[in-house]
Amino acid sequence: MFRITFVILMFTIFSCEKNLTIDSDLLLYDKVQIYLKDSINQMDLGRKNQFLKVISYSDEIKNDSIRNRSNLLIAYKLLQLGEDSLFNNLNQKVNILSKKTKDTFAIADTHWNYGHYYSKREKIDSAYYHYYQAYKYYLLIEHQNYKAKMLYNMAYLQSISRDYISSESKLIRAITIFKVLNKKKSLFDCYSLLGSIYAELEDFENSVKFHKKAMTYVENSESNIYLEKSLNDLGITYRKMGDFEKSFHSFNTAFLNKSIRDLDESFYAKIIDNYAYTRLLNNELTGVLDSLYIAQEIRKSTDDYSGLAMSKLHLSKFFEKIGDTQQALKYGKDALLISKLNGNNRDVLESLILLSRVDTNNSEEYLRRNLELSNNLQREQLKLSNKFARISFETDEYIDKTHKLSLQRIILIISSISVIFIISLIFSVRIQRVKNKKLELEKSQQEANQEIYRLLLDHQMKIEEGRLSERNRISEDLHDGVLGKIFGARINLGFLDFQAGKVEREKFNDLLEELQIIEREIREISHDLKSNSIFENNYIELLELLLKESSVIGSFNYEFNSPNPYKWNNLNNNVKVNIYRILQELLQNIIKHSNASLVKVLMKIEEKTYVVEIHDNGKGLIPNNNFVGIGHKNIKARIKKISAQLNITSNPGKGLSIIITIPNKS
Amino acid sequence: MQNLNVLIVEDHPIIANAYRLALESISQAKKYEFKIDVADSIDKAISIINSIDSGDQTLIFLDIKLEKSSDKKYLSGEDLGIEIRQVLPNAKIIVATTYNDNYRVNNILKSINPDGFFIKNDILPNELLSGIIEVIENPPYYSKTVQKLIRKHITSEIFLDKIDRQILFELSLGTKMKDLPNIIPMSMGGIERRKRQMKESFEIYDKEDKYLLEIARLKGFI
Repeated sequence: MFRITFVILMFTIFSCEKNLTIDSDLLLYDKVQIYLKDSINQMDLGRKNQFLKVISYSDEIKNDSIRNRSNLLIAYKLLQLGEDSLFNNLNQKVNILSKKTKDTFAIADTHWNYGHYYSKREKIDSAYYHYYQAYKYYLLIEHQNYKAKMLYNMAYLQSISRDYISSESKLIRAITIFKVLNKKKSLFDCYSLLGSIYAELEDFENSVKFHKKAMTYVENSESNIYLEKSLNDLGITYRKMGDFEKSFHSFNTAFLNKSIRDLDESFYAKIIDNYAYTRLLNNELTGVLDSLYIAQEIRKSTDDYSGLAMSKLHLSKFFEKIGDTQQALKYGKDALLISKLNGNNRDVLESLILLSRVDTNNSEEYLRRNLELSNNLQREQLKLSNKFARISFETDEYIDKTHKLSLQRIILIISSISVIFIISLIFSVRIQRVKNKKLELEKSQQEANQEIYRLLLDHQMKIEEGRLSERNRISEDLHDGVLGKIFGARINLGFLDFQAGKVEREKFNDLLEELQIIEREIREISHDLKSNSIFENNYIELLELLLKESSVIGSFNYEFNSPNPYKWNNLNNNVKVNIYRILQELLQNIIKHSNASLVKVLMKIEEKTYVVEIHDNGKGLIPNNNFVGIGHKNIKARIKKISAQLNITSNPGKGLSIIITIPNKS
Repeated sequence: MQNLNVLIVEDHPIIANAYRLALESISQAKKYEFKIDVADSIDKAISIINSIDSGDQTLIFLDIKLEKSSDKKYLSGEDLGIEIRQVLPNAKIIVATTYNDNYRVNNILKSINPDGFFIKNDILPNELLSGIIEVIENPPYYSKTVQKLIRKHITSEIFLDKIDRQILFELSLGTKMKDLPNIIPMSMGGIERRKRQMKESFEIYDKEDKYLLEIARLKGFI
């Protein structure tokens, strides 16, 4: 049940990711389940083939996890049906694969299967080992129910090998878990086993107590024999206590369930056998032999050899009681043989004691063998319990190690995450710092640009001022000095009283008037000189000056045209300086490379843009030596800085046109 | 015979001589008796003015472009003219100057209110004679440039006060805006506001100062 729900859970998880393959896998899984159901009903013949077919279906499943599940189901079924070789193959396959895929749950399951397998073959140490492995893996994935089940299985094995103390402690641990989970059947199993253990330890009171407790966890039902099994155990305990009354009562209560024989024949044989034996011990001989024979026959027919040994033993005891030594000896030897074959030492020991009583001739020999065997057994038990302890110890160490490892892993993960975090923090801080620095540099560059512009303007202003003051000086000299003196001279001439003819006199007056006209001209010149005042921040004049200077150096003619020069002053100083520098760079290139004889510069303002056009009639760009020099790089950088656009049209041999479009942001 | 004290304040001897010749010519024809003094500096002029009796008929030729006085009290002929008006209220003043810019002329008209105003370049010898006689007998006499200016002002509806004119004048000299508050007793903002108002009254609104000066010159304010 749990396996199936787990599988479904797995499907739902996986189906989110790979629906397509999962769908086909699910179909196959369903198929496997259906075939498994069929295979139970099949007879021995052909069952194997049926299983091989199912396994081949299962192998087609692509998803590792689902395939494991499916294979485990098959393996479990194989185990139940005793197909040992097939089981071994499959279980091993699943074990290896699940280890590879780190499917802990499947690993645990395979160990459980192995435990079951070895337990059935009474290879107690191997079985114990595998149960312990399973326990370990269930512990890792914190599967409480299965963990407790493994504890129970181990306790059961330990009880068989008479390591009652360890068994008891495991049972108590298992009970604690089952109580939390409220697993009634499991609690029943645990308490039953505990009762049996106390019976073996001859603590009969506790035995009775636990058996009764076990019975509280199962219902009285005709359809199962749990209660009856407990009653059987209880009967045996009371028998051992010598309380035959209660013993009979228990057995009789069990017999109230009429369907025992239908449900479990070997248990039926067992309880009949026990009941008969108890009566034997109570010296009620009527019908005992019949009952013992019936039990023996049933056990024979069901291949219940361990039960058969018990039957033979009881029969031997019966014949001993009635004094039929021969029969007693015969059954005693049978019991010894069968129990030896079964490897059931308890029965062997009991047979030997019985035989030592019956076969008086060889009594000592049997007693010696009994002693030897019990010594051996004690040694074996010691060894076995040591082995159990070792297995536990190794596993505990393993668990410790894995715990430690997982702790280390957690520490590692946390520390690496924090290291990554710190590194990224440092990194981002660095980046931020670099960015800040870049911004600072850009800012200082802008400031420097503005400063340069200011200096440029100052410089030009100074020149202008010098020129202006010189012009003023000339103008004033003309006006105040020269003009006054000419006036004085003219008036003086006017009053000159000289003897002359009328014609000469008129000519003289004409000349005087001419002189007056000259005066007026001088005055106008003087005014013109003065009135050409300069204006602050005249950017366009600055650019024109640059062009003019370059034209002298490069010996070319220039045309400078700017329809509305004053608006250029509105541009941001940074943009102005950059345009100035770009123009300077371009003019440098024209001087150095172009051989141009005419350069036209047009500075116009359109609706949303300022446009600077520079046209020359030089060589243009040489195709292979395109716009790549440092100068051009600088130009491009500046263009980018003021987020303008550069448009170059080269007409080799005829000239170069460069158009710079600057967005008007303000 | 009428006696007249004449003071010629003029630093160019040749011009002073021209006036003297003109006066001599008048005295022959009209029988005026001129007592002529020539001062070639403000200092000399002041001392002569102080020696003149204010009751006497006095005619003064005054040049505007003069070296400033040694005590720096008088910076030009204009300051001297204002002083003369106070010391000798009856004196007839003829301003004779080469300056013909409207601003200066206007200022002189207002501050000195001269009886004669000759723009030196305007006049021919004959005009000089008739002008002087006019001033003596029936003042005032203004030469042609001054007459034109006055006419312009009468017909213009635009009124600019002294500070407006001064701003225009300084701008026309090429004085920078940032230096203006040092020259004109106003803040930068105030000067800007006046400039804007002037542009509005000249109906040029948002144009450059250059246009303001052009139009002011055209309208006779500079």
